[in-house]
Amino acid sequence: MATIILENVNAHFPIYGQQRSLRKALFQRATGASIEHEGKNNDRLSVKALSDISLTLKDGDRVGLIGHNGAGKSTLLKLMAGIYEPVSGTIKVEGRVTPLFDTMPGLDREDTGYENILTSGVLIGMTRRQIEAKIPEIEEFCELGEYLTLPVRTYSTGMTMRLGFALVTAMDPGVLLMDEGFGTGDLRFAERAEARMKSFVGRSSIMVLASHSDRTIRTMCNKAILMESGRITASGPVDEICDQYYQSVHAAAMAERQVKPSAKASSSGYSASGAGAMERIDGDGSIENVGLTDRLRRTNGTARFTRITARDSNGNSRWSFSPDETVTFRFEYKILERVSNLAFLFRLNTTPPGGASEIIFADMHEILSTEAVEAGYEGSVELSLKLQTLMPNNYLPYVWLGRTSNAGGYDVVDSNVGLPALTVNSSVEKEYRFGFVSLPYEARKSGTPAEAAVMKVGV
Amino acid sequence: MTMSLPPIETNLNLRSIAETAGDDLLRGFQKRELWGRLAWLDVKRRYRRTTIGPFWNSITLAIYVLTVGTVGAAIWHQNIYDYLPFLVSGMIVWTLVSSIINESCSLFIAGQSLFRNIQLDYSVLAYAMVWRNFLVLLHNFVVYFLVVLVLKPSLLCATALLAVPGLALVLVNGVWISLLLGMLCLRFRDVPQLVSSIMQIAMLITPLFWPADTLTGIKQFVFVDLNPLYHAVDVVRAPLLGRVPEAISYGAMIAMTIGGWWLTYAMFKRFRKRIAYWS
Repeated sequence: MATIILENVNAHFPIYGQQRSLRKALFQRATGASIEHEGKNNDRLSVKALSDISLTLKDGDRVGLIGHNGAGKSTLLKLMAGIYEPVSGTIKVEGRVTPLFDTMPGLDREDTGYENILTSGVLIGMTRRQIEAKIPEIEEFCELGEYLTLPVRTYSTGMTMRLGFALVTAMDPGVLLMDEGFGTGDLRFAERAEARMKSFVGRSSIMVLASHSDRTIRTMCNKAILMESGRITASGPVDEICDQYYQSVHAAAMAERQVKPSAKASSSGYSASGAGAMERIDGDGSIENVGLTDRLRRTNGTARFTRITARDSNGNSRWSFSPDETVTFRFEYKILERVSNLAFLFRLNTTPPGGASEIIFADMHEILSTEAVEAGYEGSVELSLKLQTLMPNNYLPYVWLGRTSNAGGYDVVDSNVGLPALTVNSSVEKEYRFGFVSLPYEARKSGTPAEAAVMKVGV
Repeated sequence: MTMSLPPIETNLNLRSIAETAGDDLLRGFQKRELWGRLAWLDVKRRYRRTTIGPFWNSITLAIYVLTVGTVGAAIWHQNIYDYLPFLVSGMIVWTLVSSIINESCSLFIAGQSLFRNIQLDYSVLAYAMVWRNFLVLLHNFVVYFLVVLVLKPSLLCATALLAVPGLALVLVNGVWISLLLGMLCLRFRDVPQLVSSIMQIAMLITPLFWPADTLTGIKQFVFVDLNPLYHAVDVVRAPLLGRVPEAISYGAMIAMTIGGWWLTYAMFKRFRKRIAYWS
């Protein structure tokens, strides 16, 4: 029987003797922890890493900690591990706690594989005898053979990782605390590693895994805790919380675009569900008079998008699709002042895991007219997109009208009018794939019935 | 939002994750396998791929003692048969004491990567460091034996065994010094510089190169009697030179052990949980 109870736990990191530049850098971390001034003259600076955390974990809980970089996931793990002690509040545990934040603690590249097994094993709390008993199993799994008698500096990165993985997964975990830096959260590991990881996690009484990849959390956990700026913002069943996290990532990306960089970046300036930003587009997709301040600031306003819709093949309006569908976007616009030529750009942006800033995922660029277009002209662009090449993810649309030379924009809409994200849902129950693109490939597998030998994947 | 707390069960197995300072010191000490290995690996690490390994230390010491000893014997008008054993035994102990003090400063600064990633009793780092310096001392003892065997075999008598309790006193003090200085240096990064300056000067004003009785009156009182480093050296050195250490040296060492441990325990108890935050 294992239990972890946290009651009103707080943790602040003092910052000593820092240069102003670092202080500034810390302030700019929009998604990170808040910085407070303490002491008599407000001269002591401290980062509030965790505030008022209370939770109870019991046997069988597989909990994913999810949130942006700096949300406090690792700090919370380290508090549970007893590495940091809370500034206030109490943490109580029952059962042995095994923190795994480092694949091979105390690794010395000059030592041989065997010596490092012993060093790391002793450091993570095994006795010499226990380690020696596990050595055949470790040897078998890591498949390093003779290499184990050579210094680790002769190993490739992958070999070192395999050694560390074989070692830690050989132990009896108790309450298992893992940071994703540990590398085993990475399910792209070989199938064998995955099976071993599963049995390792299965042997633990409680597992807590910190990750900013909701895929990893979804595949390994049954509960999730969403963290933001050192607080728990939501907790519950894994799928529910992960959905919420995904929406907040999207909303954050939109909020970031709305708030000018000079404005005070607020870590909690958007609502967790992102609903606030989405309401701004009308039900029928008309956006003629929405978000004009931003649109006119960024472009000269000589043309204007009036309506944007996304429909499935039956003509139903929606923004969420499965990968085997085709989505048809319709962009209606009108020319307000004569323009010398006209080009159109439809761009999908996406946010990589971890809430890093958006990246351009794909551009679709069309020349609408090389001739002048007179004021009053009303036109439209219909764009059909087969989604089968997209990995399940959220894609943030960005639509632009401007000169063919790309030198000037007439109108631009994205989150400024609250365009919803294009959501591609997963077609399988558990998603093991990462990345952005589904490549159309064929896999031929041996040892399976002939009919199944050629299988089309990626659709 | 918080997960609801269950009704309070009287669960006796539930323990607070917060460890006490006493737990840390005791449990850390029991992990002999761990600190023994850390210490041994450190020794090995420094001399890896060399043929004579840690004996490089001993060779350096031997050359140092022979050259400086020859010159020193002339300067202080000493008989070389007395002076060389005096110098070598003093230097062996001084190396131990000064390395412990100097390395204390980086104890927690260098150990961060360990205690920030795994559960580690902080005291383990202190035991490992003191133990490592003890291992180095054993290597250096070879030089003492060679010098004494050649120059004055009569020194290897029963009195020399008194060096063992003396050494024990030095090591026990080494542990509290390393914990105390380790915490201080982690929090205030100027202290390591200060300590290394002091230790450089201390080497010259502590009777290592010249006998303590060269000084008289108030000077002897200040640089010998009030000098804790002198007592730390002498409780080990005197037996190696065939005399029983003075009562004042034992007294000073015992007082330091009690006072030092009392202070360190109080500080460790108060600030142990801040160590991870300071790093």
